[in-house]
Amino acid sequence: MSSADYERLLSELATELTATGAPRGGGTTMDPALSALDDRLLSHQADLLHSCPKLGITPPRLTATAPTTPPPDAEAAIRQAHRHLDTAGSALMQAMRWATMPRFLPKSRTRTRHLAIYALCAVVAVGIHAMVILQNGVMGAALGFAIAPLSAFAVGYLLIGRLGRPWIRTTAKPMKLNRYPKYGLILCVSIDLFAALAWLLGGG
Amino acid sequence: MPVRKDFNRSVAEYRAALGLAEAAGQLAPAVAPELPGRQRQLITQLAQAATVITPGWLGQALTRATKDLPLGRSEGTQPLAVRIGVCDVGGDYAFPAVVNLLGTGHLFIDADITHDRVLAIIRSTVVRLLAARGTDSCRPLFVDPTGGNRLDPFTPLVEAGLTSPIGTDEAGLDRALGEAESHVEQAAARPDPSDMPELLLVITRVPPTFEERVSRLAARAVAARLHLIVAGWTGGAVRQTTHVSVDEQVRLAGVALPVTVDEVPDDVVSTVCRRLAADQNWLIGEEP
Repeated sequence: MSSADYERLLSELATELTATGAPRGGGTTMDPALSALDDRLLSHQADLLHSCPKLGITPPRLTATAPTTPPPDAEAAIRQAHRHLDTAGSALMQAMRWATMPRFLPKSRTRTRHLAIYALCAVVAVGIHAMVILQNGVMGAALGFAIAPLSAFAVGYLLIGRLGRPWIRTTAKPMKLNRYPKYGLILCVSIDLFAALAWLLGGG
Repeated sequence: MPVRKDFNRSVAEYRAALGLAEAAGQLAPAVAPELPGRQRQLITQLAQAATVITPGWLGQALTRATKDLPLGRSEGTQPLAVRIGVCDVGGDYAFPAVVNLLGTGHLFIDADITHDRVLAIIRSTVVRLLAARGTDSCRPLFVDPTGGNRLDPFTPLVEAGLTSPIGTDEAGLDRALGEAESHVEQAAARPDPSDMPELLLVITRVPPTFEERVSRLAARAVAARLHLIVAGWTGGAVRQTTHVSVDEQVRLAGVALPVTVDEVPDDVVSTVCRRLAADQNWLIGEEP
């Protein structure tokens, strides 16, 4: 063997590689399992990215986070990754389920939810009215007894349009929303009256 | 918001799964690549040939354990090939990447010495050749127009007068090329230049204005016992030259396989140079 032999062999190898292509290296014994995991990862990544515009969420960074405890071997790492993907899948499903429900008190009945919105608005209106009375006296804020329940009703009516609807629509038809205006108005006025009564009885 | 909370949880779990998938890819045991029979045979023969043509300093790994090996004194007329790294195909398939240099050709690299792998190639090649040949029959000449201090470990050779001071600019390159051209003229004037010492010219970057001059010199050099190690060469193919390309991977003579270059610690370079200097002093009668 001489350096000329080496050069000749090297030139033959270059010709061989040009003719048949470079060797396919870099494979592992776990390629099928890794490939299956890759498919699941890609599929979940697509689900996440597709759900972003539906949920009105900015697409997140989907980079890898290093495992907190390094896995002992490839098999264990693949098993753990599948478990994480299972949880990721169910969490996304849960998010989508929440998204088809109204944003406020999603699990309660429609009437309860809408009346709760009217009630909250009425309580806030009573609070504001009370502050005005404390500043200007009862006579100075007398008009508030009429304005507070009516404005609470109006704000509640509008808020139901936002909080009473789900994040995403499940049908193409426009969703008809029963806002229970009669009950809402009665509730707002009642809360205002109860508050005034309580104030009078309390020696105000 | 339950929607956002669950969505963020899904994202966090996905990212954890991705991290584990990457870890699994790294932990999975690699399998040998599929190689056609002829390629396997050629790689085995190349490994055998490399072992034969690069004995001792020319082919051993350059570690701190190597620096105390006895320096070689090969015949000045014997051609020397030198290992620059390992061509690793994967699995059990690998062979030393060898360049035929002293007595046969030149080494031209397409990237300059500012690349770490080019620096490693230049250092390991020069150290191997000088340690195997000895400085009495092979005189190195260094030019580093990049102006860095990357060739500083070779300073003991300069201090011992075994080479001229390292050129650090275009004027230094011009001087070194002038010296090399005069070496070629002297060799051409002799009927048999084989008793002349070899000149090993190391250039770490070639400015475009010098390319033609270097190319002309290289064409006449081998017969005149002048060999060039040139980095930062963009002037195209040169006769009797092994071309090495360095980008994301290092490739030898156009072979489509990556080369892992031999690293050489600074102190191995300077120790070998000091030993060569001491050896030379001893030869001319001074205390080693």
